Amino acid sequence: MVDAYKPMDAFDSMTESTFILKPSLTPKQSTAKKTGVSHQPAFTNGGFVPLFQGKESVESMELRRRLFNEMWGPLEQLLVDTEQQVNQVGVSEVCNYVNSSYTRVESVEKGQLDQPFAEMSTAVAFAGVNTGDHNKLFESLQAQLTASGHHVALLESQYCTSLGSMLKCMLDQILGSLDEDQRAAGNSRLGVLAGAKTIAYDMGLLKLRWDEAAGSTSTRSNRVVVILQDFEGFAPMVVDDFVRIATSYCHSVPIVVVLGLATSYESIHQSLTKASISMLNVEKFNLQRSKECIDAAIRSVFVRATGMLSFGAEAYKSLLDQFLLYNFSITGFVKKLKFAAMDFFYAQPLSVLISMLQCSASGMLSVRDCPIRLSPEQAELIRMQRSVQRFLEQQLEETDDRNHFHLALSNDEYLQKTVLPQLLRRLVSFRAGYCLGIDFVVALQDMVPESLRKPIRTLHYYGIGQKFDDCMHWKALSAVVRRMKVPDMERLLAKLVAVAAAAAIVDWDFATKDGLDVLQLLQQSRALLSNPEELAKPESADTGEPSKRIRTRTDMENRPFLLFDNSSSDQMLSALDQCCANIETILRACLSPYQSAPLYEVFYYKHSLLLDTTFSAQPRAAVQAALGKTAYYIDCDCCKAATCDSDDPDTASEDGVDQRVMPSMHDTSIAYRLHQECGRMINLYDWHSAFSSVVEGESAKARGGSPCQRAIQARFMRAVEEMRLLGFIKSTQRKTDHVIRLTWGM
Amino acid sequence: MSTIGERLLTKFPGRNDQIEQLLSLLGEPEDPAPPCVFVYGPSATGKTSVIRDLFSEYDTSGCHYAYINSVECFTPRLLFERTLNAWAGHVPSPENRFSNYARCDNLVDFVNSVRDLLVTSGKQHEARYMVIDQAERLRDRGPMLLTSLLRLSELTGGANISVVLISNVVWDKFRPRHGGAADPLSIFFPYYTKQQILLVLAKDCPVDEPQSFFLTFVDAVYEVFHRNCVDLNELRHLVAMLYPKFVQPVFEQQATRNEFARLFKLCQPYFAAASERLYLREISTSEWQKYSAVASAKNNPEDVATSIYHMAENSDGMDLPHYTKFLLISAYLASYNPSRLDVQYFARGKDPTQKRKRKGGGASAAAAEDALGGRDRQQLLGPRSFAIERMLAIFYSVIAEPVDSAVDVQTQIASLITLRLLTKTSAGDRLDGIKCKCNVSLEAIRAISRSVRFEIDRFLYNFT
Repeated sequence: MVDAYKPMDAFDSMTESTFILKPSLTPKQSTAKKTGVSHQPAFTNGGFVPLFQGKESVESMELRRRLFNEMWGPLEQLLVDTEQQVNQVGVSEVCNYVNSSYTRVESVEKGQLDQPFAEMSTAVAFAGVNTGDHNKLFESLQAQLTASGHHVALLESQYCTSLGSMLKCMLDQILGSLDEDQRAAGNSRLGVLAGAKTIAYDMGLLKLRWDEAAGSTSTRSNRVVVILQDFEGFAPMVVDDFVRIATSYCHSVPIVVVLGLATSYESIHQSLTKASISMLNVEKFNLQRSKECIDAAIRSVFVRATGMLSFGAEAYKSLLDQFLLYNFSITGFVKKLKFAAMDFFYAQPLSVLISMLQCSASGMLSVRDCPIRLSPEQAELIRMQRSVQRFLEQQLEETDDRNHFHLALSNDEYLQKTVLPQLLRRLVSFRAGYCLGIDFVVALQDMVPESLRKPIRTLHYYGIGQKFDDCMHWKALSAVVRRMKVPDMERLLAKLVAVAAAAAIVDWDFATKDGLDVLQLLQQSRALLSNPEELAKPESADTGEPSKRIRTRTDMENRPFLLFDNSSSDQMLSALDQCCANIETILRACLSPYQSAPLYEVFYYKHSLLLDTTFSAQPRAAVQAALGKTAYYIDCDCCKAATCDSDDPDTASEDGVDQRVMPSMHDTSIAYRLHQECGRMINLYDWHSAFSSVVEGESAKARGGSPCQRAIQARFMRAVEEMRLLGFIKSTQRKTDHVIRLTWGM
Repeated sequence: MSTIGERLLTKFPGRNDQIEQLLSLLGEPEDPAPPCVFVYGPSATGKTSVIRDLFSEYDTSGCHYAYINSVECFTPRLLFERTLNAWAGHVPSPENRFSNYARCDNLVDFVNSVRDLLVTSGKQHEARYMVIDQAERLRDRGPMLLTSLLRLSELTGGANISVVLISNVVWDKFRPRHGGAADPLSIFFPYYTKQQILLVLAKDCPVDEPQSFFLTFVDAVYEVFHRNCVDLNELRHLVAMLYPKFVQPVFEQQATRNEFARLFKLCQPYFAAASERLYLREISTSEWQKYSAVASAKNNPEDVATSIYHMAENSDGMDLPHYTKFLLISAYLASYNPSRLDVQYFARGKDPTQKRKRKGGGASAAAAEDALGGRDRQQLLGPRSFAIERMLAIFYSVIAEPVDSAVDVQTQIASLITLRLLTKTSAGDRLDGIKCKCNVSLEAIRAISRSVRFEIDRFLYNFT
């Protein structure tokens, strides 16, 4: 019985046991994780431990640590900047609105009446449903408004549960800001105010202080801005009263209210009364566009950056799914990205190569740049990658240089000095080519109908996740190109040439699959279009067709414009055909799958399962696995015995871990396994009998005497209660001494 | 005194009786004041404006009356200290460190302070008034507050104090249950009649416009809206918004000031498309002034309606993550469909439309439903609360791809509740067996369903 409780010690809290990582990970990572979690001393190096069972050199480990910090710092900054940039538009719109509020608009129309009653200027800012990201957004709004001289109060619903606390919160901030202004103006009377007996939530105080401040400093242009960050979170009555109070003051104090809305305008109608709504003079603004933020982030982090960790299709999908399907949360996205980067630098011994990759990306890779001598294990690991093997074999085929091949496989020094730079150069060029391909598609998308346009996050997903020929989107785009008229085609080609010229490609030879010279091909197509008679003639002459070919049905389908405009000559059409073919070739070459790049196994992050299990925990599945497959968690002797014993084909399941019910198991686990055999209603007495027979069997074997019946009953009741607590069963009134089973389909 | 009356009567047309009644109650400053005057009537009938102007004219020093807005003075302390400040002529300023006249945390403090202020210094014969606007809020501030305010002069030992309550609720809803106070003198402010409204609105007429022309327009607006809206402020708002559009053709030389029929015809699209949105403030004043110039009847009358539509719809910001949309859809279905039909609708391999037809074809069902569906169908009754488990079951059934039951779904439910798209109906501290209601309109859920290509109409029972 004591034995049975022992294994539970490690997981005595439920939360701890639900976040245990699944065992299907590669041993490398789990060691890094486990040692990082369980042994405190491992945190001496920021959690970095030597890999290869501790055989990795200290310099290499230190390098990984340094590289992680070097990469993550700027990357995080980049993400923050991107987010800020995207939000800047909305924020400055709101700022302009606040600046121009309470100034009489010069009306363009005649016959304008005076407003019958004073309305309070209100900006409704739609900030999107990702409420987790709003703190940063509204803080930047607050900072910008404060910078332009306004007095700003930022209110969050959690601190404003009642009208009193809301007014206090607001007045604290605004009076504090007024104080600061006075201090800046050198007002000496300020000291008098300290410790004055005022009521903290008295709006009259604001009016008095405002009048006084306006008297001393001539700052009439500034406003009192109250930002309600999460409007939906406020109690409707509180906001309603606040609006009434604020409007009664807005003729003497220019109060502007900014309502941060996560949903739609309807929520204002739902929470405020008609009387307060009619006191608001609302303008609407779109503040946060989380999808645009993500697009910008993906463009800068995944598509453009050539010297960084990239994501493989699976991991990218997991990253994007979390965002698009569940929460639109940019914070969540950044967290997941950071986790992946950490996993990469903590657990991947070849992550030291990233510094060489960066040098290579900037075109300055020399042999000496490798900051560290690769250990034999690392060299071996490089050789073990399939892509490297393929690359070497291909080289052998092409050059027939057996010596090179031999050296690459046997000599670590040679591998590092000669082969590795080649590999990295190819990888970097491949990425640059891919980036160019995405740019081409973006340029092309400008010219296609709205319905065919996809955001860059989707384009990137297609680019890495699907082969060029399988992807419907690429096909649809090619179809549009095929239908293009001559002027459109000319414009498109001009655009593509501009994009290609702007691209910073180091090696055209390796950028695309077959060393295609993209720029030249584009120029050639342009020339062809501008002068089709001369350049396209040889082709038509060869086939010996008549000069005016009969239009077939396919022709008409492909080029509907021929129905109306039959003037274009055959040469022109064949030139168009040629251009389409060229564009398609270019796209196909640029968007070839990343699996063709050498060392992609290392630099395209692929542990999507790790990301999923870490960030979207499945508590129920974890609990069920813990109870039903204890051997995963408690790998003790009796567990092994249980799995070995089960030669009975009925109990042994296909994955081989389903165990016989053993008396040494935890009571709840025994009860759980027994209840799996029951129907919808579980007879408690039968359940108890089964339970006690399991438990008694063991004791009889061990000590030759059965334990006390009452003790068994107590253990059983405890197990049943735990099952109820976990939500596997529930009590029922329908049948005495029965419980309802709630777990199905496991 | 009569000069005050005349000034007020010209300022507030149609309120003659009330103003005269109030003036006769006030009398001379030394006259004993009635303990309580109860001014009531519907909103926008001039109660607050009349009383405030009356007192500021009557008592130019401002030391004899205190105007209290009881929404703002939401604690007794605020109410008491404001009153004392006003009566004592005390203004918080940097010199006195913005402190109030005296600190009054409760009624006893207040009564003592008033006694000190008035009775001890021998000013108890001067009438003091305490004007409390939106007085219906006082009822929520403890059972004794209102009663004690009504008997303030007794409590302070004979000070000449009168409380004026302004409210739009009748006195019957105020009367303390345990008695304890005499009924006040009531003054009723009724709705304005049409003539009175025209008189009031004539004051809004822009200076460079002929008044008779303006009043013709106001007359027309009143005739259109008075059945639905008697609120004077709303009428003034609508007139202020629509009048520029009405005279626009005159300035654009499309019509003259005598061609009323033509002018109304040209103004028609604005009336039709904008009045509802203006009334609901879906288009605010500034937006209307800024953008309505784009929509001119001269340029293109058809465009008026669409541009107004765009003005209201320009930023409907709600965009939800994919699964969250499905969660909301399933919440809507759980709220409006009876649970007994869940199997028919959501069990796999069955066609819901087929089942529904057979169900609706029964004689008993046909009898209960007329052309618009049943009288007590859920669509008319509003959302019903449902258990989260039922919603999740529907969610996993309507969603096309398999979804892991990860914590993300639970997080989304929680955030839907914070966004008030779902309303929690079970107790706040209850963690299991949570019940919710879906707080989304049919139009909104249709738009959401359309964006994920889910045909919600096929799954809604008894909807029209």
